[in-house]
Amino acid sequence: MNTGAGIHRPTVTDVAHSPLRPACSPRVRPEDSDFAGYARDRWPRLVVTARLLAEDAGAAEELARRTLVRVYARWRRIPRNDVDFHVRRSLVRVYRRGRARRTDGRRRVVLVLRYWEGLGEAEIAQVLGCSVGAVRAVLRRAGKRVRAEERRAGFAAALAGFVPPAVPLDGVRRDGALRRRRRAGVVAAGCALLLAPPAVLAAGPLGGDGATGASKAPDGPAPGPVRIVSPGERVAAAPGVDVWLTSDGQHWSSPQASNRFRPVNDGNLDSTGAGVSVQGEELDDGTYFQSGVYRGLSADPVRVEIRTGGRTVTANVLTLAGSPGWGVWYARTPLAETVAGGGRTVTVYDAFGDVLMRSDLGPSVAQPVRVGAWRP
Amino acid sequence: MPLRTRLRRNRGRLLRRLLVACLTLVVLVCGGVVVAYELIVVPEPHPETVVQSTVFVDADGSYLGRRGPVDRQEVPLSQVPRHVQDAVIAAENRSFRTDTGVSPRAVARAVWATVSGGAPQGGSTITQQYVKNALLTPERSLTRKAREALIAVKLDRTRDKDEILEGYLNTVYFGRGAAGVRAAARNYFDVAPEDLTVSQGAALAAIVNIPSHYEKAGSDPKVTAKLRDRWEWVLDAMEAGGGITGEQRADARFPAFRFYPPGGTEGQRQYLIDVAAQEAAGRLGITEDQLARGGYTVHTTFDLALQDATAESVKNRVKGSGDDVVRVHTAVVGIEPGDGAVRVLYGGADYARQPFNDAVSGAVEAGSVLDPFDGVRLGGPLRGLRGATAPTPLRLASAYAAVAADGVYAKPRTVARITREGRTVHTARPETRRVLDGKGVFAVTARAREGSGGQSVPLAARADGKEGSGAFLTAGAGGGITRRTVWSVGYDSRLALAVALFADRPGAKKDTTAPAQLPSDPSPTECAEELSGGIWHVASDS
Repeated sequence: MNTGAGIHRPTVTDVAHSPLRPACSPRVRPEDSDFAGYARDRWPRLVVTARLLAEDAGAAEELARRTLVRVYARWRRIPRNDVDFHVRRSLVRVYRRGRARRTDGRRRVVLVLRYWEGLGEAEIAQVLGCSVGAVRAVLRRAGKRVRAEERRAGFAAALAGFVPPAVPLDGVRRDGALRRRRRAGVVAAGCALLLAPPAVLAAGPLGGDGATGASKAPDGPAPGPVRIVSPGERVAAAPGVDVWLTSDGQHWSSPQASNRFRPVNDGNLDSTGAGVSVQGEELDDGTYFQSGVYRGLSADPVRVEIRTGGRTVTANVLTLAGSPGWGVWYARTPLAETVAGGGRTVTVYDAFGDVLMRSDLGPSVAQPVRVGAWRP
Repeated sequence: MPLRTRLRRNRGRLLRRLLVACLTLVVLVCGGVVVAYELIVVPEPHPETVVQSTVFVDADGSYLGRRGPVDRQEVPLSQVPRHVQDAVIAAENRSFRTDTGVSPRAVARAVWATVSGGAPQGGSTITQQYVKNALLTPERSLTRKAREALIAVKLDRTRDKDEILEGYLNTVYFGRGAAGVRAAARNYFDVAPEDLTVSQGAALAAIVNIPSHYEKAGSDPKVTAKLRDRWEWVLDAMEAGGGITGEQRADARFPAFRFYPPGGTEGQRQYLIDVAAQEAAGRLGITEDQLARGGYTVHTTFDLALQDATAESVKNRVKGSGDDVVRVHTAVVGIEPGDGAVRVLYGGADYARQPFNDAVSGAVEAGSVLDPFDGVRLGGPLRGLRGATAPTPLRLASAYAAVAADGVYAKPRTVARITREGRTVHTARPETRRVLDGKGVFAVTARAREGSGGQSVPLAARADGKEGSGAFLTAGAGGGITRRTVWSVGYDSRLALAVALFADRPGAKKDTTAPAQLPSDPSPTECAEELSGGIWHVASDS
C-alpha cells in the first residue's frame, strides 16, 4: 500500500455521486455526533451500497441493518477518525458471511467498492483483508469483459427506482446492545477457560510445599557425636591416644602403655546383662582421659554423658557397623576437677532421651552440657 | 494515510500472518525434534564410568582395601533394598516410576522452588542425571542439555525403569570418593548395600543432592544439622509416597556416620593387598592394572584380626630396639598346614616407608633353623631348601607347614576366591604335593622339639594342650650376643607360624643396605619367642 487513500482518489474522476463519499472527508468528525446522528446521516448511502451487493431490496435493507448492529455493538471501540472504513468492512463481512461465501462474492465487492464507492486498490485490499495484488487481479479480469464506464452505468441502472427505507434505529440499538453483551460474555468465559489450568497448577505445588516444608522437630536430646568405625580403624581420641575397635572389644594405646585391650565380655561387666565400664588415665597435657565400654543394649545409644567433678561432658561414642549392641565412649576432662570430684557417673541415653544405663547410682545429670562446650 | 491507521486497518491480516508463521515454526521444531530423536544414538557408557575398583576382603569378608582409580563397584538392583531405591526416588525424582525420562513438571517445580526459596530441587529426572553422569562427557552447554533430554527420553522408551535406576545407583557420586551405592554404603556406614537400614538409605539419598558438602556429615555440626533436615524431608516424602509405613517413619533415627577421612589402620594392609593382587592377577591371567580396573572382589585368606594383633604385638616388642643406624626388621608368616592358606603375613612396619615385603621376598639367613631337616630327603618344591642359606620367611614357613601336614606340601596362597558382580570367577584350591615321608616328618618334629636353638619349651603344646601335635623352636644365625638373625617357628596341625628377626644398616652407597647384627638389648631371642607365643595365643583363641 504505497499510496494513501487521499492520493489515488482523484484518479477516479466520476465518483462524486458516491453516497458514502463525504464520510471520508475530514469535515465530518464522528466523535462530534453520537451513533444516532451518524446512522441517520449514512443510512441511505449504506442501503444503496448494500443494494448493489445484495439480490433484492429486502435483502439489501437487512444487510445494512445487520451492518449497523455490528457497528453499534463495537461503537465505543471504533476510532472516530476512521469510522467509514470500519462500517464498510463490517458491511463486506456481513455480506460475505451471510451469503455462505458465494464464489463471486469477493469479485462483486471489489467492483462495487472500486467503481461505485471509488476506493483505491490499497483500501479495498484493507477492507477485504487480502493483498493489493489480489484486488488488482480481480479488477484486471473484470476490466477485460466490461469497461469501467459501462460498469458504473450498470450500477446506476440497478439502482434506478430504488428508494432507501427509513433507518430502523431502535431495532439496531436493541440488537447491538444484545450482541455486545453476548460478546462480553463469550470473552469472559474464554479468558476464564484459558487462565484456570495454570492457576490450578500453580496452586498445586504451593500447597505441596507448605505440607513438606515444616518437618517436626525431633524429640529427645540433641544427639551426641556417635561414629561408626571399621574394625582396626585408629581414632585419635586425644593427643597420643589412639582408640580402635575389633569385633571383640576396645583397644587403645596411650603414652603410658600401648595396645591395651578391654574385651566386651569382660569379667568386670556382668556377662549377661547390660553394663558400662569406666577407666581413666592422666595425659601429658594435664587432662584426664576417660573411656569405657558399654554393652548389652537393645537400642542404639544416641548420647553418652559422663558426670565428673560436678561437670557433665558429652562423650564421643565409637561403635562398629550393624548395631552390635556395644560400643566405646571416651571423653577428656580437666584433671583437677576429676580428681577432686570423686565419683564418676556415665549415663547412656537413647533417642528419646531416656536413660538406657548408668554406671552407678550417683546423682542424676541435672544440666546437660553441649558437645564441645568444654575445652581443656 | 498515516502509518497508525494503516497498521490498525491491517491488524487482522498481520496477526493472521504471525499466527501462521508461529505455527510453521512449531511444526518445524516438532519435526526437527522427531528427526533428532530418531537419529540420536544412545551412547555407550563412557569408559570412566565403566571402570570399577577391585576390593580385597579377608577370610571373614571384612574390608581390607581396594585397588583402582575410582571407588566404585557395581551392585545388582536386587541387592539394593527397596527402601533405599524409594529413598533415592523420593529425594531426586518422585515421578521416576511413571515419567517419560523428562519431567516438565519437575522443571517447573525446580524453578518455583528456586524462586520461592523452598527446598532446593533439581529439575533433572533420575534418567537425565544418569545420562549426564554416565553417558555424556561433563561439559555444560545448551546443546548438551538438549541431547541429554533426547537421550533420556529414548533411554526411557528402550530400557526398563529398573535398569535405569540400577545404572544410576551404580554411577551417581555420593561424596567421600564413592561413586555408586556400594562404595557409599561402605564409606559412610561400613556396611554392604543390602544391609542399609531405612534411615541410612534416606541419609544416602539426601547426600546425593550436594555430595561435596554433605560428605562432612558427622564431623561438621552445621552440615550434620542441614543433612538431618534434608533426611527428615526425604523420610516424609517416602512416607507420603507409601515407601515406608508411618511406624517406620516414627522409628527412624538419624544414623551415625564413619569418620572421613577414615582413621588410619596399621600400615600393613597394603602389603597384603600387594601380595594378593599379584597372585589374583596371575590366577586370572591378567595384568595387575586390568585387575585394578576390573571390579573384582578378591577374597583373601588373611585373618585381619590376627593380622592386626600381630602388627600391634610387633610394634610393642620391637619398639625401643635398634638405634638410629641399625634397623630391626620383623617378618611374620602364618600358614595353614595342608591348605597353604596364608593367615598372617607381616612384611614391614610401614608400607609408605618400606614397600619391600620382608616376609615374601626378604632373604633371611637361616642358620640353625633348618637343622631339623638335616639328613631328611625333601622332594618337590622344597628340594633346594636345605642347601639355601637365606630362605624367605614364607618358604621356611611353608616347609614347616608341610611337616605339620604329615609331609604334604601345599603351595602358599593368599587368594581363596575371586568374584565379580556376585558371580565367582575363580576358586583357588590347595595345590598339594607330598614332599616328605612319615619317617622324615617324625625325625624333623623330634629334632625341632629337642630344640636346636637352646629353647625347647613346646609353646604350641602349651597353648592348646595337645601334646605331640607340633613343635616350637627358636634358632638363628650367629650366637650369644652376636646374633644376626633369629627365627622362631611353631607349628601344629592348624597353623605353621614363622617369625624372623633381622637387622640392617645403611650401606656404603646411597639407598643400599647391609646386614647388621641384632641389638642385644632387649634380647632378640626372647623378643621373637614372646612375639610368636603371643601371636600363637591369639590365633588359637580365635
